[in-house]
Amino acid sequence: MAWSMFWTLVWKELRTELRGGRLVASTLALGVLLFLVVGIALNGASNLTADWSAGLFWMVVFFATSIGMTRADVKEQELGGSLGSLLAPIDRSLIFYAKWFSTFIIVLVSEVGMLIAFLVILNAPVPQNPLHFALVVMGGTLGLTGIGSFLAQLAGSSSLRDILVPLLLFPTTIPLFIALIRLTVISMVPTVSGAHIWVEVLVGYLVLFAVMPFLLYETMMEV
Amino acid sequence: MLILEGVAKEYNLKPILEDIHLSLEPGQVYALTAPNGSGKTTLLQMMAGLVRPTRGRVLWDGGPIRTTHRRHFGVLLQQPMLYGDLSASENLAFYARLYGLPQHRQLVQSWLEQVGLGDTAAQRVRSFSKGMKQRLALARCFIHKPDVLLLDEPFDGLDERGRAILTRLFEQRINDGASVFLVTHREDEVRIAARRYTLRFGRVTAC
Repeated sequence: MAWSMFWTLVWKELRTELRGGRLVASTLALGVLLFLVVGIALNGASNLTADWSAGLFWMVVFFATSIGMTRADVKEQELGGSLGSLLAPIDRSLIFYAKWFSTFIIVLVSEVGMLIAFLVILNAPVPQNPLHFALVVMGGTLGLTGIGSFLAQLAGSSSLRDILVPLLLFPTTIPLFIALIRLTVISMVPTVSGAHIWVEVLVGYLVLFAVMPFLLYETMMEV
Repeated sequence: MLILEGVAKEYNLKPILEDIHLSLEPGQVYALTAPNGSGKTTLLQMMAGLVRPTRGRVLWDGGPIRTTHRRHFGVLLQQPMLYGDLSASENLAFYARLYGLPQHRQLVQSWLEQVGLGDTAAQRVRSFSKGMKQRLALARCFIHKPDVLLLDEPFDGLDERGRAILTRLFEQRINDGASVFLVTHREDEVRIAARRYTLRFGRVTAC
């Protein structure tokens, strides 16, 4: 029963995105533009080290995703649809998990475009361990969209919602951000060691945001 | 039966609602009149379980409202609670699935016909007029046959046809034993209620 509700909510999110295309379009456009600006400023940036490339990649992904998610959330509240879902006789944490999962899929799609822009515009080094790199991108996106979805719901009733989500997202994700940069560097240059601690940070974030909404979401949504 | 026991709500330490006692009995229509900004939407949201009271309790059948109890409520607020990028039929199908209603395809079509939107089932709700959105919101509110209807200005934005549809839906639900709590400004709507209340300065009093 819970699974069927979960997929109903995911269907709604993906259908809405396919019709409006707001999140993919906005994150991808913003991401590519940021890479373009940095690329022009650094004259093709072919001399960037792996550390700088990884840092730039995640910074652009974080920035573009946070802006895109905020806009998508504002559109959803336009006709009060999100209130209607809260009235349904389902565990409200399901709404969060469905939102998280669908946002993860959508952001992952736009990241493919951002990654191409990253490799082409910045002449970034191609990861020597592509599987490791893909896992880092997926894990990082899962963490980022989980925190972003949580904060978007938390700030949902605030009139400052548009700026609160990006403002809260960056400080709360600093350890995740560092972990993702280090793990990305390791996937680009496999000779660099010390991945364990950063994997633990990433997994810690994922576990936290997988469990916390289940415990808090119902209460959190009743203001 | 929905009961409010000494319910109060404060926002930023400012009292919005104070010591409200109400009980909604099956088959009865209740009307609440209130000036703008008096907290009537907050009261409805609290009755529907969207807002937690600062003090007091909202009870369903003598106990606190649980997740599964929400299927007993049909709520119509000033926002239609729809998704603009989904079509009318997709919106209703989505809610029908969330409420676990069987054979939702036929159900959705039948409800769209009932509210006069059968021809626009595939159109996106974003392109609907205010009256059409309100009619679709009515279908969303009634589709799961709720036992308690919490309605905020339900006739607002409806033309004669829409008003006739709503009146018919009302009568059907009341005959089936549902209780209706109606927030309105209009005197003709208040007249259909057996019990009338007014909300002023955060307190509900019987008229």
